[in-house]
Amino acid sequence: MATMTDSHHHSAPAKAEPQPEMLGYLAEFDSVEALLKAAEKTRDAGFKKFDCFTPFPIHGLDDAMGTKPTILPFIVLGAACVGGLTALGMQIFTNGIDYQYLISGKPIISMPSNIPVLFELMVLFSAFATFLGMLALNELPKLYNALFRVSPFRDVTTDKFFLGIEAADPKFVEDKTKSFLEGLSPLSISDCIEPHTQETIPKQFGTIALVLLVIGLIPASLVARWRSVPSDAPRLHPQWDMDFQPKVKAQTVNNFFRDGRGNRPPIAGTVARGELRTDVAMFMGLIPEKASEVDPATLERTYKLEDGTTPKLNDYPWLTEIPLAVDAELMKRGQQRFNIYCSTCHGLTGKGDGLVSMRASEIANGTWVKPVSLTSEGVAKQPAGQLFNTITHGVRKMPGYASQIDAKDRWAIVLYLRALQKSVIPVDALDEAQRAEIEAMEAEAAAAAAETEPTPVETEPEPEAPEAE
Amino acid sequence: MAHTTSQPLTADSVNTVSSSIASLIRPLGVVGAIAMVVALVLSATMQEGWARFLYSYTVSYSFVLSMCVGAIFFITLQHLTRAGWSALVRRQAEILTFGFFPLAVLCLPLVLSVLGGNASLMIWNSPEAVASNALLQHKTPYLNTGFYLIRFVVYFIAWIGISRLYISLSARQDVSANPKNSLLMEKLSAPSLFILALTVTFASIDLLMALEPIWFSTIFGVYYFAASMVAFFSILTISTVLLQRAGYLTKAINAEHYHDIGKLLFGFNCFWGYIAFSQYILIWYANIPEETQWYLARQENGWEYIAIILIVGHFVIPFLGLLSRNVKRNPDKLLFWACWLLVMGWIDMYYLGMNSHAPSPVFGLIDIAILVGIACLALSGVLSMAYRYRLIAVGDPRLQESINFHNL
Repeated sequence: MATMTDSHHHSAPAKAEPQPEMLGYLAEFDSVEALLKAAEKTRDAGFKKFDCFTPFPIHGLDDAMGTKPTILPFIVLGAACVGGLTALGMQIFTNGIDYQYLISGKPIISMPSNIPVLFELMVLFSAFATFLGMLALNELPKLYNALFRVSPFRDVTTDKFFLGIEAADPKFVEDKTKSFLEGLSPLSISDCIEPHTQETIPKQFGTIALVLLVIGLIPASLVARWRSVPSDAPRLHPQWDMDFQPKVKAQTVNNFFRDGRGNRPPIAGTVARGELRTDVAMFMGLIPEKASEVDPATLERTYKLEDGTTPKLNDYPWLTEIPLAVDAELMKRGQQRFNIYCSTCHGLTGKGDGLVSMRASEIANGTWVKPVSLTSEGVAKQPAGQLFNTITHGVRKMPGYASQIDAKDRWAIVLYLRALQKSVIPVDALDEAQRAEIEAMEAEAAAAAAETEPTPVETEPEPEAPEAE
Repeated sequence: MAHTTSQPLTADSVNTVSSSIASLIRPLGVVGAIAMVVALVLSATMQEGWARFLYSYTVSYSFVLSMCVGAIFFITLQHLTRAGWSALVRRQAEILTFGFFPLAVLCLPLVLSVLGGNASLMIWNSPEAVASNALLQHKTPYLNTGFYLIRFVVYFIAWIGISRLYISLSARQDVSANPKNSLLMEKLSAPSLFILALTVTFASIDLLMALEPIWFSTIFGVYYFAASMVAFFSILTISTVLLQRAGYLTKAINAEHYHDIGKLLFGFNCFWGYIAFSQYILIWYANIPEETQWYLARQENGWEYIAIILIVGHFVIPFLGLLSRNVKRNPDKLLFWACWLLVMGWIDMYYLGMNSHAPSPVFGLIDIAILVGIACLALSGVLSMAYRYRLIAVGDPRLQESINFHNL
């Protein structure tokens, strides 16, 4: 005890020889049971600053030592809450406040989409808190521990078990504690002494470290310079085979061919599959006998005559009938294609009330041209061939659909358009019998609606079937 | 504690609970039968009473079934992972799977009403509804009465077969203490789990998802599985605590085992929340009408409160409540949370099933009567088959490991 207190207060005189310091006793046991018993007795004797050292985790050692539960879970809980709030704050600030960006029509600040990130960040923060908190609570990493100077302690990682009582414990009294430990019948008891020898770091060490640090900074500073200074020299190609791949890119020079072109023209006198379009009626919608009068270039949407006007397409020799066998199948196909390609602007009934058109009109920025009603008289009067041509090449703001819809399907759409146009015939144009039939159907439907309650199953709204003539 | 070695349990030192529990079989059966009669009388006096009865029956039936489903999953999982800690409590799960017998009988009202052409529960059973809806027509190869019946037969053959297999092997081991039985059960656990995963997925579709045949969710089977595991660990906690209070199992089962049951209860409840959210966010984000209609109907006319009760009551509050190690190691506190989650489990089934019938939430004596009826009849059936069995698998080779089990 005396030597210990001496060494504690001895540091004051300058350049005094450092005294060895008594840190505690280390008792060695050779079985788990012996260690657990010793730990229980040490705990019951009232020691607080003591620890057990074992080659592997031992169930029940915490209880035997009277170790208090760790506060780590609370650190982790706190970190998880911070992580959750960080995630929420980050998402709400970036997407909801700083740079508002509407995604899929969801609210600017929408909880469900924030939850995955919230969850991930809670997990991430918890994992960091668990790992770093464990290190901090265990005072790790520790580069030096006087325990390693005790020679029997080397077996602690193989097959020996140790119990150490620190001199800093208030109940520690040198001889008494030693006899207490002897009472636990250990294999041996060692003193753990910190010699406080004057071991200094070699002087060259600092110089070498400094030089290494400077060398290590060279590549980083070069990269930083290159990135910030403009240069006329061609860039470096560290990945040669990535930058120069052996392939032909569109619209580039290629010396493999004699004419130096990368893109190849079709071989003279050949036609690609599906590209042979000699059937004027089928592919242009014109009467074949009179097709020679028409310059195909004038059919293009953007074609302008010399005086700057557009050609008068109404006067062209259009087919009046569809050049295909008209049946229910073609009609169905036309309806399906129409609903896919046309209804977004023209609406399911062709009246020009498609969702895109409605939304564009709502924004009202002035560039949107509302599509004409396809059931209007002007369109209904047009010959089938002209409607076909409009779908093929487009009109006004509407682009051509030839690249997306093949000719047969374009005719099918024309057929379905005819059906739509017939579905809006004014009542006055009907004869007596037709009118009576419709009125009877309406009355029946009204009676049925009043009688039966709507079934819970939703039925798909069927587009109005065309009235058969 | 590890170093305090307990006396090994032998067949003689673990009693069955025959006398006291056998006396419960008849009263439980009588109470269940009376409750069912009350429910039927009530349904007869109500408007659309039979539909209400069937829906409420579906809810409570799915709820009671989920406990047995959880139990058989638990048994096979323990064998698959060669778990040691659970040897002490596994017999209770094995006993619980006797519930598949009474539940096979109790599913008759649902299956027979569909067979009899009743379409108030299963709209796809109505030829008019199918004729007017292309989606329903598309699903008729699966949703038709004949196949519906066949599927239920297959489910119960699979469940009863697997559970009988496990309890008979385990019970024979009580006497013989033959470790080969354990090895066989381990070997069979993987194929059993495979069969269970498929049957439980399709059963959940047939019981609950088929109520809204237009709607579909590919994660629904997992959702029901998660709910089943929560319900099972709740009922396992409750039965263990009650048996200990009645003086059984007191020597062997201690805080360490409660701790593990608590951890699994907590874990599977988080899993339930995870799955419930996974189902929601995909449907919410994709925003496809035939998917969102299901959630839309559950977000209005009062159902939004049920949804909030589930988010807060089924996930948030139990998450915080079960987080602490102390709670999991304290049987009384764990009992509280087990009961809480069991109530939430029923509300979950109510949320899944009842909305198809009721535009806004309805609850009355009839729902309580049906729940009590199914639960009591099922429990009475379980006890009548189980009272001869020991409460601990005394011949299990991992029993000592389970007794000595210690969380760090």
